[in-house]
Amino acid sequence: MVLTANSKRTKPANDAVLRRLPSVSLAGPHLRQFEMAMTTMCGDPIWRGRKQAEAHDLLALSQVAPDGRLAVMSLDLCESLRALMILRVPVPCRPDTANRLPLRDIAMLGLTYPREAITHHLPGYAFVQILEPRSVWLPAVDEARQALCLGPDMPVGIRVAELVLMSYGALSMQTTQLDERDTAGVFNPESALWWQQNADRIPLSRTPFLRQDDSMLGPGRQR
Amino acid sequence: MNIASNSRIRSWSALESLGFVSRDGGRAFQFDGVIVKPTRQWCVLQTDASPSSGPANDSLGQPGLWRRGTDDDAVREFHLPLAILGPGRLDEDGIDALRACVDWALCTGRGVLPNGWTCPPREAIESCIPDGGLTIQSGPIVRQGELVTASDRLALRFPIVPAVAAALPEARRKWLDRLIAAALQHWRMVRVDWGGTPERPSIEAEVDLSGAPHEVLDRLTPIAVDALRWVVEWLLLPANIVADVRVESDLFNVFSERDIPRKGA
Repeated sequence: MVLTANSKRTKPANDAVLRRLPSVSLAGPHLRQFEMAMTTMCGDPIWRGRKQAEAHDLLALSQVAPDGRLAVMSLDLCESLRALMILRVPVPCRPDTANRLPLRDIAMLGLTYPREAITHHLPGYAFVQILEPRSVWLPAVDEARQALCLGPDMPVGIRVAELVLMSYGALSMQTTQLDERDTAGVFNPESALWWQQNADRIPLSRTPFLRQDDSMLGPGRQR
Repeated sequence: MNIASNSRIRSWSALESLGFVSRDGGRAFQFDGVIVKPTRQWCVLQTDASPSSGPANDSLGQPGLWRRGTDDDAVREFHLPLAILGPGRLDEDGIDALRACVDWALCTGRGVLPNGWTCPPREAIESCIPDGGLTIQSGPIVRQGELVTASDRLALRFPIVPAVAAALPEARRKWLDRLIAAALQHWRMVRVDWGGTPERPSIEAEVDLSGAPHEVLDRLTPIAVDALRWVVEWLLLPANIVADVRVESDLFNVFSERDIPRKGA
């Protein structure tokens, strides 16, 4: 059996989220984190401007998300945009010998957004690495480095916040690719076969990144 | 301005009996380089962090709640949760407790304990700590905090990264610096800093209650435990991943060429 992928592109709901992020006013620790990252930003004017916008939207996404959904732990804008993030999402790890699937409830992600991303198509595995947990059991994650593949290649200029939303969808298996013969999107064929045989467990969560009642333009959360 | 806030400002004016001078229409008070900024839930005392402003009382092991500022790295702050003043907050009893706490802050701001202060019995403090309050798990990592008591010392400490490899690449150290800075921006009251020895550095979180008025400790201790837990749970996983050289990632190979702005810089 081959389960075809859901659309790898973000859903319309995510598009609405992304449209509104630039108008979110950062507040509290998100604002301070943004200001701190800006003090060490380098690069040509175009790249600096782009990093500023991407950093703002990433922190805005963290600010408007339900508490604990996305924490941007560290942000570096010196060269590539680099972020260390914790995403609250179910993450499957390699099943044990009794075929029980361990699920962790958070993923620590390292995101690197190089300048080339605004001028070239980059492969879907070029941006996000899962640093924790180890032994992630997803077709889109290679076992060695745990790069998360978000698709064969990404649109030129894809936004950082969209990469985060796509990561959430991929980890919770709201978007997935289970064709073990598809070398473009499947890094772990063994996992792909396992999930084909356990397709009733998909998705791991139906909870959207933002709940319906999350106000995109409400006041920023404070500590 | 409504009646409630007028009443609040009149109550805060009790600080004037300690020598503080009202400024900004009663929204802040100043005394000898210390500014008090009351908020809804906190009384924040603030001083300049430059070496000329006094001893560096904001590092691990120093008495009192002084630490780097949340908004500004160039100041030191002392975060006093108003919940310790009791349900009436700024009624007569609360004002007395506030005066004692401000005295505690002023003394430890000079690097000394309030005159005659001794640590209460360890059992009394232990009874204020919820069961399991000093054990934290985040993912695969577990940390045990400790209650530190001596005749002149009362503190709660958590190791976040107990031993950072001496050979940890510089870029990873900068990531850790940035994580510490972010923790201080996000959370009040708790110190987070490098500790240990040059050969065996560590990253630790601490709330130092040395010198705290005894009458507020039954309320302050659980708040301190709670504050520590928030910070440690927030920082535990990322700090340990960054410090673990076995976790390979291009992310950690580079960090800003320019250093993070430091206090007094």
